[in-house]
Amino acid sequence: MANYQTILYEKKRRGVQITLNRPKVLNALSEELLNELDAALEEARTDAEIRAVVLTGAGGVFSTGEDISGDDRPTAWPYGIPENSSLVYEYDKIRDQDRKSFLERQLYRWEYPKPIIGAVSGWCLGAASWLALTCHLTYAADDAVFGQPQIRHASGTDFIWVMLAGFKNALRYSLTGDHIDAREALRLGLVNQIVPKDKLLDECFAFVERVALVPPETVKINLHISRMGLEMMGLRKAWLLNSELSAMARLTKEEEFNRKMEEARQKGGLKAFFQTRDAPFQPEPFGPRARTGNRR
Amino acid sequence: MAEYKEILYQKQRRGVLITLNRPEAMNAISRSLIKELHQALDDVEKDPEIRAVILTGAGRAFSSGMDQGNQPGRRRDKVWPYGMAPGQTTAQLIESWRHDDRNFMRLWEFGKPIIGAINGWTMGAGSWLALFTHITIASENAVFSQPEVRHGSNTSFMWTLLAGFKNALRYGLTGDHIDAQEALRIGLVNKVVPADKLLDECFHIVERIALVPPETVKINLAVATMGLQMMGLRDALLLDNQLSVPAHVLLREEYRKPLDDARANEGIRTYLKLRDGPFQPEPFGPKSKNRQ
Repeated sequence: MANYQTILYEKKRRGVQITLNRPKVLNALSEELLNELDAALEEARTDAEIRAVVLTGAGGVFSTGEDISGDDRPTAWPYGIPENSSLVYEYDKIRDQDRKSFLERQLYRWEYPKPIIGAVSGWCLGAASWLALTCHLTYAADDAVFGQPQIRHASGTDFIWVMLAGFKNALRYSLTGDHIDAREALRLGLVNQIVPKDKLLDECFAFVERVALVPPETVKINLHISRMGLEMMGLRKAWLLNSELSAMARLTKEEEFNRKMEEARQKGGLKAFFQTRDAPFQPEPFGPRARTGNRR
Repeated sequence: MAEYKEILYQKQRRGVLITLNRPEAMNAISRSLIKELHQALDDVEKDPEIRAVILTGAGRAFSSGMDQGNQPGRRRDKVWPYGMAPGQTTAQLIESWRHDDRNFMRLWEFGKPIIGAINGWTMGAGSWLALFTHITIASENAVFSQPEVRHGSNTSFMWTLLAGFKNALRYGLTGDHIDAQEALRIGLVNKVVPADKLLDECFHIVERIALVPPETVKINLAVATMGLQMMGLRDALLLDNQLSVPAHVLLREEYRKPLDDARANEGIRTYLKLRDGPFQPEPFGPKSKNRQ
């Protein structure tokens, strides 16, 4: 068994619990963590004792999304590409990266032959919301908050939001980055069920144990009927297009929106930057940053 | 008009009530029953007085699913560990499970609205029949599920189309029961009504439809049904049909032998108790309280 640094891998109750385990940075998705998640899923795939995977985050938080703490090369403004680079080089690089580091991984999990259950408590933001929602089932703790705040400084959304929540609901939240709480997520169809925070993993493993009573081949085929049926209806095409558009969104840096973030990143003031970025959006419609319970 | 033995065909209130009528077998879908259902639809097509169809079940079930008795591939004399009948080839086994999915597609493509009046147990292929109807009204005591996945069988993509990916998997991977309210929440049915109001509610919709020009109804039905087919529903169902073959022939001795043995010996009821016991309590429905 592999020795993991950024995740936990615990076999129990006919399944395995894979925990995103970088609690100090709210389980931000670094390349190392994503590589280890790939390896852990591959390990679980080939282990016949494991009938389903429960994916969760350490410290009561699922994950705040992509780790953007690395230091990029300084940007040449107003071009929005690194100094002394070229558009053709950067665009091509980002397209390749997006395929390799995001699309391939997402499709691997989507096609995974055993059920993956996302167990979401606390923050589940940006790329982490895509990770949680692409799971075959998603259970939310009562304190779960979903959102894509990164679009406030320019980034893509993911078509999984449209597929699950529908056109209008997905746009409502992906055009603003607004937060939504567990109740709203249930109403939109992003999650299967809301569970008290201290019962979340227990409830997920109760489902794993029910799945484990069903013949493995039957589970696999019924997973395929749902998944491949949606691909027949165009989901895979939508994701391929999504990947192209996401590369464009990633490439597009406007001085007005991105310069401050880059400066903050270089000087170590990301938290302050996020506060400045998000202040005009408060109160949020749902979640802990909503002034009152369910203000719309 | 055709003569019917396993269904009832009663014209009334601008429509027709077609009742699956094998209450002693909880209206299990036998080959003769499905044949009569299609003959009845032939009659409906020729009768301009009938503006819409209501499909319901006699007794305490809408339908318990495929009749286990006369399925083509269900040989009980399997040789283990092969999971095949003596002397059977894989080619023969696979061929015996290939089937025509037009039985269900025809309901979807039918030129007059079909309203499902879901009166009770609606299991396995019975749930597919219910889901393929254009409008579905459930009585308070309706229960939907696909318990046959517990010994090896496929789900239908119609569950995914209507309930969405996550909800369809939650119930399609476990065979768990859901009640009328949960069916309403996830989009399997239009409305839940008291059992004694079920048919009246359905005929009320028929009478409203009957006020609209027939050609308009037909075209607006086609906008919805053909639109979803254009979006890929037909492709998804074709794939679904192909995947139903491995779903039925990939058999593990530990899951299938008890079923075959039970059929040969003490009977299927004992087996079902054995199979479903570990799943109780169910999350919804009449079996959700009492633990066995």
